[in-house]
Amino acid sequence: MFQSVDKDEVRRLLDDGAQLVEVLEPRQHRLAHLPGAVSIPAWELTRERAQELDRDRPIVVYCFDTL
Amino acid sequence: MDGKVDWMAYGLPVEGEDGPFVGQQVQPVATCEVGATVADARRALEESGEDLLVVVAEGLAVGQVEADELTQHAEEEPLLDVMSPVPSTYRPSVTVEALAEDGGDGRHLVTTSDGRLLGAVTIEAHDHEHDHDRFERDLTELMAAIGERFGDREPSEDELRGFLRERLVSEGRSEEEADRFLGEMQTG
Repeated sequence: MFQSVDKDEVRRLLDDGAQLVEVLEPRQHRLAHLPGAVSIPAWELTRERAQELDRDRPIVVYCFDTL
Repeated sequence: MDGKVDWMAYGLPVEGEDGPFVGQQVQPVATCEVGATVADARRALEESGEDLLVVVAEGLAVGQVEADELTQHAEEEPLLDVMSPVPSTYRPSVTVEALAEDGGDGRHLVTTSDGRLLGAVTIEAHDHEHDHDRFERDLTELMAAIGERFGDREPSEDELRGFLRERLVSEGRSEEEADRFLGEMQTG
């Protein structure tokens, strides 16, 4: 199930073991990313890449101005 | 809507090579709502000890006024008639270095992408001088080290690259970081 969350909810989810995915270009991720976020650019967000993630834990996907 | 920019706007931790970011150094500024008077502004400035006040409308920065300007106006005058437009503002996701390059010394207002006021960041004049001095010192040291290694002989590009890589690693960078730095230097 997909839903939008704010930063406070993200912090709560992270405390509960959520995974962070940054969908910006890799350079943006290299310069600065939320703690522990993995880089999967939006155009690489395929079923194959999604297998890198743990389906049993919440996944927070973010870009520049949307969580 | 929140995102990386807003995360940084609240000074929350980030990882990566860049930084520090404006959002991590933003300080509160004195504010008054658009309906305020000169007297309200004076009071707000006195309470904050600041010399710049930002006029806001529902959290959005719409104007600013210096403490000195207020002395020329009657207490009951609306702040709207006294304030100046807000200059360019900066996003919290910008690095302090980039802000200093673009905006120079002084105080710069920081807002979210939708104009919500977060505060201000001050760039001190001596920061630039310090950076410049450090760059000059680093460059002098590097040239001396190259001279020491190769003497009067001009090193080949590969030799120079190898020397710089060795030096970067000896300064504590990982081999991967050193290669990336040299790669960027070459493309830049």
